[in-house]
Amino acid sequence: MADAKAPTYTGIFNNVRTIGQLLAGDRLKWQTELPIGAPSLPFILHLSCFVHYTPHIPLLAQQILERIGIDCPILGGPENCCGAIHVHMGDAALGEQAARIGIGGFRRARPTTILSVCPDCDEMFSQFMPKTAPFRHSNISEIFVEQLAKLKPIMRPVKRRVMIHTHDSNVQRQRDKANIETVLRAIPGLEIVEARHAGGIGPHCQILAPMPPPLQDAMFNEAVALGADTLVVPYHSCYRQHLKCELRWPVNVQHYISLIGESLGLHEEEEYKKLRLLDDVDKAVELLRPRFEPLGYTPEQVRPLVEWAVYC
Amino acid sequence: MASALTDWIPLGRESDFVNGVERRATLAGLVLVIRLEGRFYAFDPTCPHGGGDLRRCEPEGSTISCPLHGWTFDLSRRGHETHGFRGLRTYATRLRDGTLFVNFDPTIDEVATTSLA
Repeated sequence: MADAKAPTYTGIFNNVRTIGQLLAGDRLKWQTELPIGAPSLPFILHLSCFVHYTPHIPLLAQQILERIGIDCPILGGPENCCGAIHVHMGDAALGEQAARIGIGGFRRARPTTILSVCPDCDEMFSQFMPKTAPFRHSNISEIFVEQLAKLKPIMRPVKRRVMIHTHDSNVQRQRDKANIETVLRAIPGLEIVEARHAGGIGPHCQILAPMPPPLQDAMFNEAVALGADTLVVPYHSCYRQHLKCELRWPVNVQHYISLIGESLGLHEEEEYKKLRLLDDVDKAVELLRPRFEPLGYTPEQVRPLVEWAVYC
Repeated sequence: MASALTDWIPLGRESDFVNGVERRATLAGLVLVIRLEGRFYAFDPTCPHGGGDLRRCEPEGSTISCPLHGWTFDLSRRGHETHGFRGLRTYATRLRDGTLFVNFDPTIDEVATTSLA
């Protein structure tokens, strides 16, 4: 059973494992490591730890790539942590070791491309990626732009008026911002409003450095003023911070991959959002009961995990 | 004829092992020792997953976890990994006259109980 007494590494990783298991069940298939001598995999989708809280994002990413003929198995779980957690906890040396172990795990698959959805993973892996690495590592937004010619013909209209939340603290994030806007502009019917208050702080919104409430208020107030019905976020951590604002503003919060999925007729339940929008930990635990009871967990065990992972 | 302790390698005085994880170099190899729940456990210094340094392990009950990725080993179950991954190699320990010994023979299943409070 997971340990809710974060922030030990054991507690964090076990929380990711347990909440990930409860939210995704058997739907999200991923491997923790590839056996030596396994067949070469051209593309691998790497899942960071906390993306497991929002399994609809990798599920949709995988399905979108399948639609354009890219088979993309997932390497994930805490076993493939990029080391950002360690860096955030002040252990730079452990973080580097974790990143190097992750890169070693990629090598086993002999891929051409490793795709990440997480900005922290992008930064950790790029920092420690050997110049001689026989594969490239990039944010998944790159592949959507590269494959836009294949995506465009199968996109159908999405009737939304959206405001794009952005991060542009460094070159990688600026590239993501441009990529995401390019892909969203390719979706027929999608209107994008020009915003002045939609920029986040740092590389992404996160638990340690969330967007300050006054800036968050300004962003949502602007979205309402501009008639946007949706705030599109670039990262899962931004999604986790901002989705609860749906309780205060008539604005739907969506990860950009969900909108690409919507344009392809793909849908995945947003389990994390369902739990958070209940705005009541006990009700959230009750909603999860049919999932945790068969696994032998009790409400008393699950409650602190939900509090930490969803209501933090 | 060899005595019962021929293959038992002394690691130090019992009182040397009461706080945290201790590392010892022997002719047979490196070993870490920790006292958990009144018992002395000896085990490999690195995690079998990615080679994490288990001197930084996080102990709880009879388990230790690697700080790199959270693999958790139950030392009371010979290093069984609790999520179903590869286990950690553990070694038998014995206490005699206040000295802690380790034995690298994998067939020996013995764990010393501390005599200290």
